[in-house]
Amino acid sequence: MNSSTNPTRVLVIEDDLAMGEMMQLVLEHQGFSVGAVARTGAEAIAALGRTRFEVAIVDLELPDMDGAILLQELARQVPAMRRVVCSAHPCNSERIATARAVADGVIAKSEFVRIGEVVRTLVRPLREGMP
Amino acid sequence: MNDMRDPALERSLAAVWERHLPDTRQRLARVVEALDAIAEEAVDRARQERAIEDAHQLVGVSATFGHSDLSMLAETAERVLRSAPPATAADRAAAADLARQLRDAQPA
Repeated sequence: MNSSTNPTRVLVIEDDLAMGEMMQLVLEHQGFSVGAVARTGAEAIAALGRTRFEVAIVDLELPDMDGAILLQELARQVPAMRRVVCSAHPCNSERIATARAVADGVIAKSEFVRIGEVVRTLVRPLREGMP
Repeated sequence: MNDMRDPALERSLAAVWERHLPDTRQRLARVVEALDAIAEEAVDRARQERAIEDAHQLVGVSATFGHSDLSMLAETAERVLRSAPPATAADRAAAADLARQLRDAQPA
């Protein structure tokens, strides 16, 4: 799943530099491969053309695009890719409720250390050939 | 990141926090200035919008790196900034008080 020979490849979409670096550190520490850290929706979509990602971790507050719209676009372009919203306050936002409809999971930024559990749970059925 | 166990990862994350501390302080300063301006009924739309963005980023970054007090204050600031201009004198006083609390919460 996230072995060194075939690690799950993750696309991080986060406009804050510190957050992006932190996410990459944590994910790589947990055995995942971060194929790109996109700072805008446009960068994220461009990255899809270069690399095959199994998971995208998406911040909803992006400078060029609403995160919920980006989630829809990611789903349209790469239906098999799992999509996780990473939010500062995932419980009290109308936008999160909207995003949940087009995401496979939501994680609080303060709980990001648990991202490994979330990603493994989402990717396991894909790797085992289940729908 | 309260549940972090691995010392090497903790050190790496602390280094990231330190490296970006100047940006964090700048964001905090802009939020405090905007709150002070709200308290004085002198905030303009551009400053307010920028401060909302800054406060939102502070919520996420400070929570992620274990500064939960700062994160909660920033979340309150984001809410106050989004609802500006204040409706009452009490709202303006609350904005000024929040600015004071954020100054005191300045990361070392």
